[in-house]
Amino acid sequence: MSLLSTLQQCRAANTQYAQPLSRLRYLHIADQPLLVLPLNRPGETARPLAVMAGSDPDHPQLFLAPPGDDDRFLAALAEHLHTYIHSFQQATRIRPAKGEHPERREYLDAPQIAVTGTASVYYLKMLGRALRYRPVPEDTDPATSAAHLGRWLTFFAERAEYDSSSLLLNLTSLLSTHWATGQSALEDAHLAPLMAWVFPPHGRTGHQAALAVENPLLHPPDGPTIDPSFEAAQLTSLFADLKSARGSRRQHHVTHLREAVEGYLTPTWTLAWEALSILRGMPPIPSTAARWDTDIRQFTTHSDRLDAGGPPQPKQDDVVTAAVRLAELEHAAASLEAARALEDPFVMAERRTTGAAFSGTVTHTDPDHVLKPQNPGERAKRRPRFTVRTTDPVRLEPDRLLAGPHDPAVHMAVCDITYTTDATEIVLEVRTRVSRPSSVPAIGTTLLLTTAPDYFPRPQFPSRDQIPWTHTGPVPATPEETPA
Amino acid sequence: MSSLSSRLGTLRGPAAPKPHNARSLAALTANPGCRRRALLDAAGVDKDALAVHLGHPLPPTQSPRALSRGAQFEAQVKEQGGAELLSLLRDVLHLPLPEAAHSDLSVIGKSDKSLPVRHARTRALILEAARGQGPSRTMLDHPVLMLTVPGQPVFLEPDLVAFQSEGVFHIVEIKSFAVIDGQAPGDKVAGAVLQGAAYIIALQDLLTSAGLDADRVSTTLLLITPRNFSRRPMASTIDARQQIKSLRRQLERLDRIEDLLDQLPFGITFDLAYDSDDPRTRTATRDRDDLAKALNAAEARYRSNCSHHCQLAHFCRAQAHEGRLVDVLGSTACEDLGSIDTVPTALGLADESLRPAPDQEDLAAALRHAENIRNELFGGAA
Amino acid sequence: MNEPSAAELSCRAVDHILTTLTTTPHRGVVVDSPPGAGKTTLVQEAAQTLISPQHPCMIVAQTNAQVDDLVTRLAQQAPQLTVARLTGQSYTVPTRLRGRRNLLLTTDADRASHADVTVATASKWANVQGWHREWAIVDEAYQMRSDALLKIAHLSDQTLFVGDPGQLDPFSNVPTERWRGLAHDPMASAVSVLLKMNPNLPVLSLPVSWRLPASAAHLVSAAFYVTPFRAGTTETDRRLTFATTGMRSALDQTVDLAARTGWALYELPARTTGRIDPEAAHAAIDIAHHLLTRDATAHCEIHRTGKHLEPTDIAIGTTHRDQAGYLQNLLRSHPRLTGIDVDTANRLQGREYAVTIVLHPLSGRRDTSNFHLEAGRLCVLTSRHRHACIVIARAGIDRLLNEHPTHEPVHLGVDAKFPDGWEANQHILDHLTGHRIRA
Repeated sequence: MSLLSTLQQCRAANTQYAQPLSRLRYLHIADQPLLVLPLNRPGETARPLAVMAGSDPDHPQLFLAPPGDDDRFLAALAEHLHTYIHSFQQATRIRPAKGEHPERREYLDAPQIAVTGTASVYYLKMLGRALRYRPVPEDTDPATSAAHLGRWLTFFAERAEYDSSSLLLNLTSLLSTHWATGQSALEDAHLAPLMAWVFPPHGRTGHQAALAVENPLLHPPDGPTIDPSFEAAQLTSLFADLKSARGSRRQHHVTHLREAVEGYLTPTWTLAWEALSILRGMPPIPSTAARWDTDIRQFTTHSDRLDAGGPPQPKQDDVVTAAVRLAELEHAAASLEAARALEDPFVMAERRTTGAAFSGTVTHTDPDHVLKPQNPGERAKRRPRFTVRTTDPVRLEPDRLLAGPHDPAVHMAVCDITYTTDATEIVLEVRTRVSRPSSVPAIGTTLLLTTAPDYFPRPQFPSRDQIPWTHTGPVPATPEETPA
Repeated sequence: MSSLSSRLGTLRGPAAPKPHNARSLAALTANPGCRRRALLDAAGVDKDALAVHLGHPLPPTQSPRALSRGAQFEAQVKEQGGAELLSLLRDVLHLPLPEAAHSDLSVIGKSDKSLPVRHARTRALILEAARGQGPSRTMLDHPVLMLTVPGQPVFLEPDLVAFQSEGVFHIVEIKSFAVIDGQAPGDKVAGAVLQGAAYIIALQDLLTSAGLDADRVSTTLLLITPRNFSRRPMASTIDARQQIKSLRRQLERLDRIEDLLDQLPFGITFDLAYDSDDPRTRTATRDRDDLAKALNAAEARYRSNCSHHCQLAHFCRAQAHEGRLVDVLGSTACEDLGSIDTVPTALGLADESLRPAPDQEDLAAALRHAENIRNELFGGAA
Repeated sequence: MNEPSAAELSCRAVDHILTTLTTTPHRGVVVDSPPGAGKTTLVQEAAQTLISPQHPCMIVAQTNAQVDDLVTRLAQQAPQLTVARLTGQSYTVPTRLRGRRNLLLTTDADRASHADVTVATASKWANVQGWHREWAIVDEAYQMRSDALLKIAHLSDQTLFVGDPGQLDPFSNVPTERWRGLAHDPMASAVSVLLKMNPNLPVLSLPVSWRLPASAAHLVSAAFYVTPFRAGTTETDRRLTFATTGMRSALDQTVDLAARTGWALYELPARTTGRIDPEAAHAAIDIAHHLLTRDATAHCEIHRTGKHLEPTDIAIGTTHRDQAGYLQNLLRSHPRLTGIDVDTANRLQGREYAVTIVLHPLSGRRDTSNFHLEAGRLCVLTSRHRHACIVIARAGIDRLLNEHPTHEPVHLGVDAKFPDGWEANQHILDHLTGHRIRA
């Protein structure tokens, strides 16, 4: 968040219509994502009552788990997800060896799941945890088992911890990067009030539309928690009916339950596809493709693990896994942030309001500046310098490396900052790509510059069998243990 | 000056005060800066009814089925004299708790009317145990504790008090949310700990009022929950010291409610002016605008998370919206806007149609800068 | 019974620590060191105790600045030792370190292998291969993340962990919920994971602060620390005097009060401000100005005849980097003040000044937040001074604290922090209220 987005929020509150933030997306939006709308059974932990899913907006599939029918529900849902995933496990390509990575076969594309918000991401994670240790019945194909469903859901949910990953899309969170509304983040976390602001129905302002969808009985909120008013009005009696009914009576009540749940989920289904199509219409920033490639690689790796009959993901990260994951999360977050700053004008603009970026004019250049050797035996190095004048309120420290969208590979260090009454002059020294012509811009050029991405060396952690005494405890990780 | 309770009675009107419980006491710590909330709670005003009458009801947030599942889980855990519970407590407390020492106070009665009697009995049993006089009980089921919130007794019903003769008393909370691989949702645990803190405080007060040491009450809460996805119970311990301190502070503040009352105009009331006494058929006749005006005398502090713990949240939000307050935009925006209270001021300073107050010059400059950048990005006035 | 003097207490504690190091069967020893308790001296003495020609040792610090400070002091105070300072490729070592006879500067660990003691940052050590020492000393261990320790713990057989438990915890900008409650949470501090995994390790502490004056040691100890400590000096050892008497202005009263009692709260009228409160920032500059123009002299056990107070003896502490940036900008138009350090609590950790001027983290805020309430932040800000600490705040912090909501999520298996931020803030505020000058 920045003062720029706060200002847009104020404008939204003032005009009663959502205001644009970033107009470029940084995540991949598949042509046919699988939209998943889970509904949890009230009073239970990760036990769905229903899931509406599908990759065709016109043909939602409703998977229903009426009391006592959990297994059939899970089998159908597992089958559906498997069919979707399996369609991406056909075409492959060879990725040539690079660095320490040997040549390997990879899928061409990957599946993508979309959910409405953070609560659903968490729900899929919990459902994955509930299912992944289930035994695979002997006479079934493991690929369509509840256990594999659990392992896939866990895979998607774990990837969702990376902001850079597009495998599991969080629609409200994505929409919020593109629009500021006149309501708070808590309200923006729900699809209906957020979409009401972004696309109010004709004749209503965003504010009016958002208030209108607050009545849960008229506008069922997105899941996975079932709204208590709906539960009291419909589910309670249906559940009671189902409890005693057998045979065709039961079938009759199940049909009623199905209709009720369908009616509850359909408005969200429609909204979610609208949200997806809005997001798809946003042009991606260039680095989006590379991040999706990482997702495809992760998808391939996980597919291979499942094919090879590997164990389910452990309940908790062991010492090394935790440390490696933290390093990867930090690396992915830092590179995403750096890429967005250089590729998305809005993010650069936000950084200008925080002092981490500035727009300025080149006022002086010294392309042949030479650094004298510091130690005997060193040679003199050419390090071009130039001066940029800006009226932005910069907050930078000497020695900090900067880069700009004009040529992201050129990094220059802040050598000196001079403040005058109405502007700031910054002397920069080119540190990388010194010989490129673009490394020293012409006098009069306007440049946008921000802090360059930090260098992230690949961290070296001990192997799992050599964890030092400082981190070995009395409780060794036992991933194979079957939980209750 | 009339007595505190009569002043609060005037504020509430003739309706009976809405009794507090551990949950509502715990909610006192959610937004202690809100004067409106503090006054309504102290006077025992039915905020739900108020919100409905004002046309801003808060949709229900409690699932009926979740409630009954919770009750079921509690009953299951306490089955057979709490045998399962006992073995869990032994494990967690490392105590040699004797068997078959379970007293169920619900035999006295379960209705609200039985609360004072159950409280008296609870008090007697606890003091007996604390002084090592009675038989060595280990579990007191359905006990009733009491706190005085301002001037009124509030009966609290913890799930269970466990104790060891001449030893330490433990509050046991039974919750139906699951602990999965050692983790549980932080807001749910926080709610349980705050409620537990209310029980611990009540138990501490009970002992000190009888000249016994408050240290005899453990400040570690025992939380019984389903383990993972099963219905099997497990026990976790939580250090509740911070919550106890914080709740005590807020209870003391409620005792100083007179300061807030003094600031209200004379004779103000939040009475809904029901046309009859029968809660099933009565209708509120109070003029809405008049009621809203009365409420305005008690300044609210609307925060976007108010809807999590106050039934009046949507009314206050509508007021904040009407007043064009930046508070409706959430905490990040408020933080960014510092001393700027309203949306028009923020925008006016940004587009220079307003001149900043001397202490706003720097923030105004930052807003103007952001506005220039905004115009570069999105073009001029939208 | 005579109470032991601070010097005796301190000596005994250090002796006990050094004995423990040479005799302990444990692989690790933790030493809690409150502000200015002689941590660097201990590190130095421990190094000297552990080192012999056959037994060189290694020291791990967290930042390059810390490593530079450490090697400077080691090379100076132990001229018989050869000290190596390992750096990363891109780091430029300050010139003051160059050209010392017993100090070797190198990026190559092999070249450092003959030094008695080799010092580097944790991240540099993480990239060193094939290295082994009997002893390692980890400095600022409470600010080290446990994943950083994981990378380097194998480099030594035994390790001494030294750090200040009252300062700020490590943090990350990525979601870390999945590890909450795990004993080996990679985000937790190195010491916290170490002790969870090895609960029997000896945890010792340094009982005397040589930095904090008598007016501050007890307060800081009671507000922020579980293990108490005391001041190494007495009220009469530390004095701040002015050559000129000031006017009767509130600012003069403020610096006078601070000089007399070690504390002053310069209270501005209540007002909600943005993060940047220009009035508070100007007040900080004005106070610094008064301290310098009135020719302050600081008398202490080191400078018994007094030392003239220079800009470099003063620091201004803030909560946010933009506040520090704003103040740095203001300082540029005051050449008389050049040399004053302005920085955030995070970056002032481990630093020491004669007088500090602190913008209170809660000043001018609408409400409290866990970040602004964090005990470690206020602890750093109020424990950097040898003579006096002047806090600048808007009125109304008492109200903010009263109205602090308690609805933060609670996580199973995560220890509640003691003392918590609310209490620590209340404790300090109670004290400051007795030293209040209204602007």
